[in-house]
Amino acid sequence: MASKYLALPKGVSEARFDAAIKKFTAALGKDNVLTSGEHLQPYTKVMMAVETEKHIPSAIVMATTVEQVQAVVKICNEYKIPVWTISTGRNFGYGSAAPVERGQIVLDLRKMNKIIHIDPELCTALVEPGVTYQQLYDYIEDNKLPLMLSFSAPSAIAGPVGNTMDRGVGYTPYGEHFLMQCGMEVVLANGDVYRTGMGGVKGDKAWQVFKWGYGPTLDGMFTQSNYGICTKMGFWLMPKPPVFKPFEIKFDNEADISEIVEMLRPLRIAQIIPNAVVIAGTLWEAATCNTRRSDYITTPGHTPDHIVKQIQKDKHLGAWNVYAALYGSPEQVEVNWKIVTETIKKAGKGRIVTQEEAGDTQPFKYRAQLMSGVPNLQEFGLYNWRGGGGSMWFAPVSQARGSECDKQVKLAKTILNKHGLDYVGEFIVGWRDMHHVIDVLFDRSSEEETKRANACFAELLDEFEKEGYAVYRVNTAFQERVANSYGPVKRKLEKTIKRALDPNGILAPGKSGIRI
Amino acid sequence: MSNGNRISTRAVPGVLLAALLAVPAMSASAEGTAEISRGQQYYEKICAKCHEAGIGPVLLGRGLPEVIFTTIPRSGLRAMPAFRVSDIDDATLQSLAKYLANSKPKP
Ligand SMILES: Cc1cc2nc3c(=O)[nH]c(=O)nc-3n(C[C@H](O)[C@H](O)[C@H](O)COP(=O)(O)OP(=O)(O)OC[C@H]3O[C@@H](n4cnc5c(N)ncnc54)[C@H](O)[C@@H]3O)c2cc1C
Repeated sequence: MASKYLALPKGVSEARFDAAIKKFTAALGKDNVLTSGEHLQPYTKVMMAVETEKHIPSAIVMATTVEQVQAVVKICNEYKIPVWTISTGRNFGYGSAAPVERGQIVLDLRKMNKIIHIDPELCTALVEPGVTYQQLYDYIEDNKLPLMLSFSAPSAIAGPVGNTMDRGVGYTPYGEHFLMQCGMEVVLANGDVYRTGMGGVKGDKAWQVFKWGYGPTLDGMFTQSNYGICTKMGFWLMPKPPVFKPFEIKFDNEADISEIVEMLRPLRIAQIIPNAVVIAGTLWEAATCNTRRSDYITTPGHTPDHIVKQIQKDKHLGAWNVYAALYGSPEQVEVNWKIVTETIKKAGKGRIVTQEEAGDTQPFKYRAQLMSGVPNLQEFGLYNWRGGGGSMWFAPVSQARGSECDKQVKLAKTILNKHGLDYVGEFIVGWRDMHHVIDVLFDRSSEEETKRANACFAELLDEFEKEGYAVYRVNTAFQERVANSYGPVKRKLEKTIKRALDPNGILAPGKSGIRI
Repeated sequence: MSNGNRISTRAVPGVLLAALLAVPAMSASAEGTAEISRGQQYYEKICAKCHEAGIGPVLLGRGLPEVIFTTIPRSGLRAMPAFRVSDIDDATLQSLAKYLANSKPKP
């Protein structure tokens, strides 16, 4: 039967959905409830290697106040409507703004975008979900605040609440964003408004400065989950240092990765290099300085090593390109610079490039911007490498140990190449861990290549799992699969919590594989 | 399910698409802007970060019709993100389209 909706929630009749839409409209106003194909279109755009149809929402509802979010949750319970929440909705390569399951409604909080406060003395912020990093950057600049942001690469259009809820990362010393989160306000499935940490204490002023509060600390359980809708988030900002010194170290050989990691880890753990260092492979670098695969080769399949080497030579890139920065007073930076340069000298390999030497060239420029909190979108160059708009991040976690990183690169490259795709990867160095981030790039306009990319991603997950590796985050098409990597006990516990908090299973069922 | 309300993966006619992706003929000319519209502001703050960085195609001074600039951002073309009405409302998008359709190439 023809329906007036693009999709319907699972098990919900059109008549019941009509009734729910009527209630949403009464609660939010008709401009904030969208059901037409034209309005839903931007929410259907995904980059994953699955059919678009699988992730089409049934409707969009937009809220601007906590009370409206409560009203949405109430209606969802009444009519058993599953609701997928987005903040800025820029989760590219992980599902974008589309729901995990066809037919869920999307609660879009982009218009709930107040910067509630920024405290330049305590260096804290409290914001609503729709605030973008660009908006924060403009606010900091306009008010000449001595503060620095940390953000994900799509900084100009993404935001801190969504990124932190998915436990994303940035490139400054505050790059582990969930670590820097301090105080959340969450609307629960029953409509209660819960504040974490000190947030429940009447008259409290410490919500954004002390994370733990009293008793169980629950912030973490709301991230990468479906236990609540975050309506406010506090986080810490880094004071802008007097000196910021970004630098790059280029290494010529793919086999150098092991030594690079061994060399850098002590500097990172001891905070001599305080930021989330990046070790980027040749093709990542090439793509972000506007190199297209078709400039070199037009035959399908993976790019042969000799061409990668040629690109490396032509574009003056390393096989591995390390980006890091020093922050502090002139004296601090001078001392740490000496330690860094001596470490490289002792290793006998690696060419240091300073900002003075790099000038305005890419990719150095955007890397320096990322490490100093200046928004840009240069990393979208990755999508010009192969073209066609297909991308899924494969992001296995590893120890920050040379042998482990080497092993992961070899394994990933073999599997990608087998499926006719390229290794376009980088390591983001935590304190002791690595986020090994590989962009599985494919031409989504080709059905054949999309199928291959899907098979490739599945094999990457399987083969890495056999070696004891799992990803830290994954796109919505593979969330159920990845939940299994973490074992049955965790899944059982998550289900128990879900049933207790959300007995109707209305909040994002399927997120991270969690359902009632 | 069948319905008359399907999303289109191609919101713009092929001819317009080809025009957009073609390399523009650049002619230098300086332009004095009297007042900056909301659309231009949005362009400079967001769109320019790709479209003036060699990532997305150049948009200024292409003589492309307004309809291109009101349709493509909503659907997102290839790797371009789709822009929702909550990101840029219809009035601002219209103002942006007007600005781009009437823009001169960058000197
Ligand atoms: C070129 C490129 C580079 C990238 N680089 C990075 C990078 O450096 N680091 C990184 O982390 N990512 C990166 N990404 C991935 C992604 O684009 C970013 O993480 C981005 O910040 C996520 O989108 P967002 O901030 O708009 O969050 P959203 O899309 O708003 O949210 C992400 C997810 O969190 C959940 N969520 C959001 N809001 C709420 C809420 N209020 N309550 C409950 N749950 C919620 C939802 O499940 C949602 O899908 C990159 C992507 C691209 C294309």
